[in-house]
Amino acid sequence: MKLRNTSFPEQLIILAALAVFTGFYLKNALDLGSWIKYGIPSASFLPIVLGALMLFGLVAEFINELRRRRGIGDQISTFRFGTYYKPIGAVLLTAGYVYTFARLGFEISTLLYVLALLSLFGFSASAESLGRRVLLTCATALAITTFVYTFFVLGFGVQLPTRWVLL
Amino acid sequence: MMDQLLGVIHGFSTVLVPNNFLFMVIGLLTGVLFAAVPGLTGTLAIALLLPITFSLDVETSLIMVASIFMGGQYGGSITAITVNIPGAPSAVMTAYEGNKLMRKGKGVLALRHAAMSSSIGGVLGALMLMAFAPAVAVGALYVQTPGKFALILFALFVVIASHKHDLFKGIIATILGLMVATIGIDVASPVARQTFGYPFLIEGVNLMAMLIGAFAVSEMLVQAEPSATDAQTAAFEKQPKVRRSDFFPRLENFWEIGPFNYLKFAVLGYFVGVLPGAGGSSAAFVSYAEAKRASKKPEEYGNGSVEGVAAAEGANNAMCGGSLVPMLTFGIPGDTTSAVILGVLIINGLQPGPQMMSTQFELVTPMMAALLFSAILIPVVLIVIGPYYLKLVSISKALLYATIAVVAMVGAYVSTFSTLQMGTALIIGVGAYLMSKNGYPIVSFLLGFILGPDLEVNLRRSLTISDGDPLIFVTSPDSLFFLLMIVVFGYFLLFKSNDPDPEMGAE
Repeated sequence: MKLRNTSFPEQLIILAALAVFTGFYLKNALDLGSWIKYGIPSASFLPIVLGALMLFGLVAEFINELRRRRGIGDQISTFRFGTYYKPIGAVLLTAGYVYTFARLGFEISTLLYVLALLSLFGFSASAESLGRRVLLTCATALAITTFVYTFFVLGFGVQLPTRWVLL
Repeated sequence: MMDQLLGVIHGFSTVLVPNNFLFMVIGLLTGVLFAAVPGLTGTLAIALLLPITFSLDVETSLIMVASIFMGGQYGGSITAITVNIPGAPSAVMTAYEGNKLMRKGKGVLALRHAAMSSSIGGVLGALMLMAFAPAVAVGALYVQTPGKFALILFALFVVIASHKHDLFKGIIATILGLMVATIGIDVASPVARQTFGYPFLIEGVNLMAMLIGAFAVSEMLVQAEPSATDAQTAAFEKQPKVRRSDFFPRLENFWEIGPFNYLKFAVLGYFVGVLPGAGGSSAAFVSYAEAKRASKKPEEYGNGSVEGVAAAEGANNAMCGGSLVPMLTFGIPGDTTSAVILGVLIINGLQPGPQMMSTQFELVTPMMAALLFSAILIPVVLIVIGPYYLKLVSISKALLYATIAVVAMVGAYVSTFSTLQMGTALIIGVGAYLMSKNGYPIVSFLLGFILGPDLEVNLRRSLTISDGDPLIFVTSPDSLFFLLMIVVFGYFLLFKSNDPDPEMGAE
């Protein structure tokens, strides 16, 4: 799962995102008031300590990353957007699924989500014709939706926001 | 002692109830199947099945997760041996030796050794868990508030230090987990904090959404990348077919390794498992290194050694029992999977610790017994589904991950019947994906999140007891003991260890 040798800009983006989060986090912590009240730590104590430690860690990692890059040269310091376009697509599809889940109901939203994901992952890309590919993808999406419905609703009695009853 | 024995007997009898036994077998098969498919792990299986634990008895839930744990440790060896792709990180050494045997036409022999050693290691690990966990729990009762704080600090330190090749990333991931844990109501006063102006964050970040996001969603995103997986799948299809009878265990295989060696591998795996953050891959590596050092046939190592396979597999399955010791007695998980099992306990209203071990021992003994029975069944699993292993790993990636994505998101919804948790799982999944892709250990993040509240409660209680005097942590003997342990482990892990592979200890 862990991939190595990501590019320098990617590492910087992560560090910058964490620094921004830490900034907001520290502001929230400082808004809570004094970190010591009546001589003992208050609700803001640990958040302030953690925020400060995080900033220290981020600076240290930034310096560490600079040193590491100097050691291995500039050969892998390119941002590879190509690596990310499918994961970004998956995130957007999932966000759309979260948005439509209660609005459209489990059946429609899940069917659309699975259809879109199967297409994104290139399901049945080797099918002989486009028509066959579409048919196979639709049938598989329906099968997965039915499986998940059966698993949760019929198997374990979980209530989902349904508009139509599948089975 | 008598209570302990009765508790263990109760555990065995509970597992043997047909319904529980069925869930144990389902769990074992699920763990094996998930671990056998590269990219999927037993941990992911438990995370995905978390929502259904609501509709099961606590004992049945724990039986199922324990058997997934055991199956997940073993399942990684299958693709490791057959196609040189460790299905789980703990099977790296198995792949190193086992696949060489496969290429020599001894793949089935390697699979038989892996199953036998996994089974023996798993059984011994479960027995050691049953024997030692209650005693550790009695000792844990003497650890007071400052000691608990120092112990959690020690656990976090060991997890960070185990990623010494990316030390700052380990620190950052751990602190981030601790930071996320502080979101919501303060642990010691009725104050909402770190909500960033969003009222829904007052409840804090849901543990189930966290686990589903960190394992299932992030894995789906990893698999969405263009990678070598398709080439791997093509390689599986080229493997020759084998007969079912080839998978039956042989007594000669047992004597080839020897009872003393099996015991040694299991003991090593068990005690590595007890260390927080060490995990199955460390257990396998330590055991493999010791087996190689003491071997009468060292020349076979690196060229396909059945002893090497047995050492790695025996240890990583014995690790299952070891990693549950700190989780059950202190509430501190030993590895990622036991962290998720801790989540199952918490979600089901149980608080692991010495109190649970003394007052609710009967609730956890079925889980221990399930570990043992699952381990016994491993060779049977090999016989039953061995011939299908190669077909299993060639399942369409699109089909697999589309299904996982839906099960994960619906599972997150089920946790509170709110789409908010689906959104939370997605955000955490994206964060976990970016972190793991850039070398930040997710296990550190997760342990920080899970242990954060206990760390803060014990820190603040200790300082309240001492009127704000931090010297309480060095004047209290139990706290001083764990602080000294940090120094000792820090010395050995950071300065004396010669681990050549940065990936070896990272799981």
